[in-house]
Amino acid sequence: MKLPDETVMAYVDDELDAESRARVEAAVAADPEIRAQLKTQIELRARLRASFDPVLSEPVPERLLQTLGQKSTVPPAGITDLATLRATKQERLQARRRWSLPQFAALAASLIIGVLIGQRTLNSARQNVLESREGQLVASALLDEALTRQLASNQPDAAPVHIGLTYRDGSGAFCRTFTLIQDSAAGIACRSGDAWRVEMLTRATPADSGAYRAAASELPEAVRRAVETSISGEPLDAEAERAAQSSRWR
Amino acid sequence: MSRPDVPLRDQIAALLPRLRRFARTIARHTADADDLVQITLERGLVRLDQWRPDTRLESWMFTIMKNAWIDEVRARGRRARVLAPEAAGENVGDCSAEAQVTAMSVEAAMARLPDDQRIAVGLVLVEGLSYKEAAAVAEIPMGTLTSRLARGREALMRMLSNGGGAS
Repeated sequence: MKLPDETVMAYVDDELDAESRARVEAAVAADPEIRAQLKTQIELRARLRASFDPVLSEPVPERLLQTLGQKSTVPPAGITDLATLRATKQERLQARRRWSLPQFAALAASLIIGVLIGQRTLNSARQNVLESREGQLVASALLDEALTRQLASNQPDAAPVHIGLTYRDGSGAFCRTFTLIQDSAAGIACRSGDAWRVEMLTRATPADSGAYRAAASELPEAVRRAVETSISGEPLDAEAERAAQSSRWR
Repeated sequence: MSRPDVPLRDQIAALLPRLRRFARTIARHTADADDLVQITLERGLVRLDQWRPDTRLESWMFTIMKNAWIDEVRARGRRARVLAPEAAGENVGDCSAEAQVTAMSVEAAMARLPDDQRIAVGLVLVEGLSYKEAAAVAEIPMGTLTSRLARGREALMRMLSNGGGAS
């Protein structure tokens, strides 16, 4: 069985009322064919975002700022500091909650990863930093190492993984954003038992060696939005981050 | 959202990353995108007094950009067929050997959509506007928007799944 394409599209676009949304979700849960139909739509949206979002974290050309009579460079849309995140969070929460449905977060995440692997942007990462364990994608090798040991407040310039924010999600688990410098990919991993479950992964602005650190400090819009929808409370400050690490992220 | 305490020009400056992204989705060529932003800013600045706080500033700027793009396309049309075929953008059914071997990039697939579909896809799928907001920006009825969006999606999926030599 299939649902009308328009219904699935409207679901993905968050245009359905609560009742219709619940009907679609029930149908998706019951029928693999409808699941595939939804997957196609989610995947298309994710691919579009992965293609066009990187421009958000590029520096704005000077001539555009000059047209507006702006003297200083406007920070790009990525997370530049916690104050920015806090300020935008409230605004975002009042906006429409796209992609905040927890039951589809995992589906969307696995799709985004699939898309990235499909586009061969994660060749080295797939061998080195991700593994599938009991049907879940978890961090391994140097990504696991960085998530477990690296502190955002104190990380080497040349580290292959850059840690961004650390926070607790709705279930109380610790989550950390990360950037895989070499793979130009960024994502979120949350602590699950002794592993870091990779919740999402998306393309980040490619980091050439000159822009290494700048690129690492900016999170793609998709990651930022995912943080905003899954965060409970505020991101950890340096002290809380160190304490969490000492208690082995429990 | 409008913040009366922040000057309008600063609010527009804060929107620049999103304006650049929307320009990339509709301008087909990256090189054209920032020129389109530039034109949009210039047009916006001379009519700042026409902006009303009941319209979201980004929606207002998106509409200006959409119109600037359509004017540009019309101007190019008048300059006759001297442009590269993909710049004329009518190759939706392109089935060259190369296109069949490699899956088309998202950007290339978007560039092959007709303008009206690309604008609908850009506003809803990339910019995350609601159907209502997107219809207002595109200055079309909501039913027209949703049908362009559906056709755009179908065409994109066809092109993007074309990799590996299938159909």
